[in-house]
Amino acid sequence: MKRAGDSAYKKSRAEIIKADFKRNKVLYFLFIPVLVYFIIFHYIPMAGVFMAFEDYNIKKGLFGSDLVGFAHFLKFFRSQYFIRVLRNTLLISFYGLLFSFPFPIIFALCLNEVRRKGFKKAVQTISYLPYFISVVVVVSILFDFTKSGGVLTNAATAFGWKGGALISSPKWFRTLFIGSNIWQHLGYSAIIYISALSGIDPELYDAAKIDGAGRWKQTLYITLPGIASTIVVLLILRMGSIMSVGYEKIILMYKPATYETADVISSYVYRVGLIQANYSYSTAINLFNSVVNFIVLAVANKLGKKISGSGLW
Amino acid sequence: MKKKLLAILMTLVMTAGIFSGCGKSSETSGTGASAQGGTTALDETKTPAGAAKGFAGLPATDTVRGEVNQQKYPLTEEKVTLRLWAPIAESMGTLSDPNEGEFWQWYEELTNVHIEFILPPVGGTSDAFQLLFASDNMPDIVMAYADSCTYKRGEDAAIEDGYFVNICDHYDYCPNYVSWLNSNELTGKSAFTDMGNLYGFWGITKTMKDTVLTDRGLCIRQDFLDKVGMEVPRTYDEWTKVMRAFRDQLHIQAPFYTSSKGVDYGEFMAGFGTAPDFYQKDGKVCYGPLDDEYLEYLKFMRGWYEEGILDQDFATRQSWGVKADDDMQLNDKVGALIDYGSRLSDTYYIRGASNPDFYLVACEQPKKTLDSPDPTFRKPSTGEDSLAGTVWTVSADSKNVEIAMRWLDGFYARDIYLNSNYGIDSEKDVVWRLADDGDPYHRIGIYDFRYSNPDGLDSATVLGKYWTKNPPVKVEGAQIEQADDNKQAGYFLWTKYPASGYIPDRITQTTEEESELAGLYTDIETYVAECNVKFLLGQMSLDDYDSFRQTLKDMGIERCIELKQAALDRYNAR
Repeated sequence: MKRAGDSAYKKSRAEIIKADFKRNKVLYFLFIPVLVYFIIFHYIPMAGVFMAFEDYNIKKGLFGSDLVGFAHFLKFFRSQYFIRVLRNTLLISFYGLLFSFPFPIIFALCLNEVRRKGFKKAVQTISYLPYFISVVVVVSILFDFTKSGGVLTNAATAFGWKGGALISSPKWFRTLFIGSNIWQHLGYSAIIYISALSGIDPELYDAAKIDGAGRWKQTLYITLPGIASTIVVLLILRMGSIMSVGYEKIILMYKPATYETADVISSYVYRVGLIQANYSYSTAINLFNSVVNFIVLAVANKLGKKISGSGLW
Repeated sequence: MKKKLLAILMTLVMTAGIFSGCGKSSETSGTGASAQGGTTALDETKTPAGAAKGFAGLPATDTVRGEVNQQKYPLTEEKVTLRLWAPIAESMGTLSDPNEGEFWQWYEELTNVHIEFILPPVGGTSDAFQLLFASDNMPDIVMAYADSCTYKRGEDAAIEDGYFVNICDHYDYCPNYVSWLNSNELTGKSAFTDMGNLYGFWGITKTMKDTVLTDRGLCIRQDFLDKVGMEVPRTYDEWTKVMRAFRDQLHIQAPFYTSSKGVDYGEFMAGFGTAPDFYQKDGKVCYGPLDDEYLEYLKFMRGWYEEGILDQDFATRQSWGVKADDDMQLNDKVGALIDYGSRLSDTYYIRGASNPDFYLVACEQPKKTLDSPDPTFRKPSTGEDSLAGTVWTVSADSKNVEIAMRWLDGFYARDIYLNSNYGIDSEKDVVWRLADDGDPYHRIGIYDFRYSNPDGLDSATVLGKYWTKNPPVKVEGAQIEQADDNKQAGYFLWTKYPASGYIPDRITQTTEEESELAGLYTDIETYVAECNVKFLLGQMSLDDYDSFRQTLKDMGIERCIELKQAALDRYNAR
C-alpha cells in the first residue's frame, strides 16, 4: 500500500526477519516462555468456546457432546433478563468510564502543580493505599456507611433524600459502585500519568514562561499534549474491557432489592454457570459478551487513530 | 496464483483435520457407549431375572436398624488407604486433619483402613464438587450435601455415566445399611431414585420420637418479654402487640429480624396458609407467591416495615441465612428472629453478648387466631423420611469398592454409630455418660465437657476431637439430650405442627425435566426474590400484585408446577 514494488519489499522483509533472528537469538529465546504461556493459557482454552454451541456433558467431553447450534444464544436473548443485564452492564461500564477515567488525570495534573516534594509524596502514597484493601473490606465499609443510620445515608437524608438506606435503593447502586471504585483506584491509576508527566522536557515549560504563559496555559498547551498519547492508549484499553464489569464486587454488593440496576452479565453468568453448573449456557452468554466487547474495542481503536493518530494496532 | 492455491490447500488440510478429529472422537465415544451397554447387560444377568429394583428389591434382613453389626473386622489383612472427599473444613475447630480425632483413630484400628481426607476449601464446596467429575481422579468415597452437591444430570446419570457404584448391585457388602432401609418404608422409598437405583449411602437420622425434630425455628427474647410484662405470642395480633412494646418501651432497633429476602422458610409465614415457594396441598403442588394468602402476608409485613417493627435494614443484611448478624444479636438490637436450637437460652451470653440477662426462648408457629387451622408448611432440616441431607457415594473406579462399602456400612451398626455420635467406648463418663433409664445403648453427651471443656477447647474442636459431626447415622438425641430443659423444649415446640405441606427433598426430576425446570425457574426465583423485597420496602405497590402474578405466569411458573407435580407423583408411587 505504502510502497511500490510489493514483491521486492516482501522478500526483503523475510530476509530482515531472518537476519534479525540471527542477530537477536538470545532475545528470541527469552521470548519463548511468554509465547508458551499465551499458547497454553490463552489460546488453547479458547477451544472451550465450542461449548457454547453444544449441550456440554462432562462425561462426553468437549468433542463428544451433542451440538445444539445457537440454541443457548437464543435462550439468552429470549430470557426475561436479557435487556436488563445488557443495559446494566453497558450503563455501569459507560458511567464508570465517564466518571472514573478523568479523575486520575485531574489528580495527576493537580499533583504535578504541587511544588513541595514532601507533601506531594505523602499525598500520592495516601491516595494509593486504598488500592491494597481487599474489595471485600471495601464493600463492608460501604455497607456500614450506607445502611439506614450510616454516615452517607444520613448525609443524603439531610439533603432531602427520602428512600431510607442507600444500599438497598436501586437508584443509588451505580453511584455507590462507581464512587467507591474511584476512591479505591484513584491513586493507583494516577501513577502512570504522573510518570508520563515527569517525562515532559522541562525546557518546554521554561520556554513557555518566557513567552508569558501562566500556569493554566502551560497545563493546557504543554502538559496535556505531552500526556495525550498515554491518555488515548489507556482509554482504548479501558474500552476493551467495557463489557467486563468485575463480578466480584457486584456479587458482594447486590441484593434482591437492587437487582434492577445491579444485575450485570457477569453476575448472571455466575448464577447460571457456577451455581447451577450450566456450563454451555454460561459460555454462550460470555461469548456474546466478548463479541460485543471486541466490536467496541475495534471501534474505539479506529476512533482513537483518527483523533490522535495513535492506536493499539 | 500460487498463494491462492496454497491457501486453498491449507483450508482443505485443516478441514480434513477437523473432520478426522471428529470422526475419531465420535468413534471412541461410540465404543464407550457399547462398552457401557455391555456392562449393563452383565448387570442384568447378575440380578435374577424379574427381580424388582428399587425399594421392593431390597433383600430381607433379620436385624433392625443395625442393632447387630454384620461386618467382620478387620476389613482387610493388609492395610488399605482410601481417599475420602468431605466438605467438613469449616467444622474442624482447630484440628488440621480429622485423623487427629479419637473416633477416626479408633475406627482405623478396628477396620485396618486408613482414610486420607480431601477437604475442599470452605465456601467453595459446590464448585469443588462439580470439578470432581471433570478430573480423572475421583476419590474412593465422596461425602456430599444432598442439597448443594448434586451431579447436574441427576443421580441415575451419575451411575450410568460410570462415576458412582449403584449400591443395588452390592447389597451383600452393606447388610447394616440395608437393615436401616428396611426398617422404615418412607426412608427406604426416599433413598432410591425413580428408576430404582441407589445412588449412595444416605445419611439417616435416628430420631428420638416418631417424628423428626427440627433444629431451627422462631425465637424471642424472654428477658425483653419480662420487661414489658408479656407472654410468648401465639397469634399474629399478639405478635404485633409484643413487637410494638419492644419498639416503644425498649427501643429495640430491629424488633423482628428476617432474612435479606424478606421471607422465611415458613417458620413465621405459614400461619397465613401459604409458603415461600413450592409446597403441597392434598398431594397437589402449589406455588406460594401465586396465593392470595401470600399477598395477605406481604401486606402484613409491609405494615410492620412501615411501623418500624420489621428490621429496617433487612434488605441489606449480608447473610442469606436466617440468623442475625453477630453485632445485632449480641448488642440487644434484635427482639425476635429465626435461629437454631443450639443457640437458645443463654448461649449468646456465653458467646459474648453484652447483656447478662440474655435469654432466648422458642416460639411455636403463629396462627391468625388460636382456633385457626394449623400451619402446614415448614422447611424441616431433616425431612419426614429421616434422611439427614448427606450422602456417601463410592467411586466406580475405586480399586477397593468392597472395602469402601464395608467401611461405610459399619457406620450403620449400633456399636459404631454410638461411638461416632457420642465418643468412643473408653471415654465413658468423660465425654459421655449412660442415661438414667437403664438402657445400655442410651448415651448422653456431657454438656460441660463440650461447652466448658477442661482442656479449654472450643466446642467445635471438642466435637472434631472426640466424635464426628455428620456421621452416616446421626443420632438426633446426641445434639438435644445434653442440653438444658429450655433448649430441649424448643425443638418440640418448633415441631408442634407437622410439616405436611413440605415437598420431600427426594423427589427427582428426569434429566430433561431438570434442564427445562432450571431454565425456567432460575429467572422466576430471581424475580420473586426481587419483588418480595420491593413490595416490603414500598418500591412496588401491593395493588399491582395481579400484574406480578401475571408476569410469573408469563415466565412459565405453571409449567414449573407441572414438572414438580410429575416428580411428586412418581415419588408417591415408588
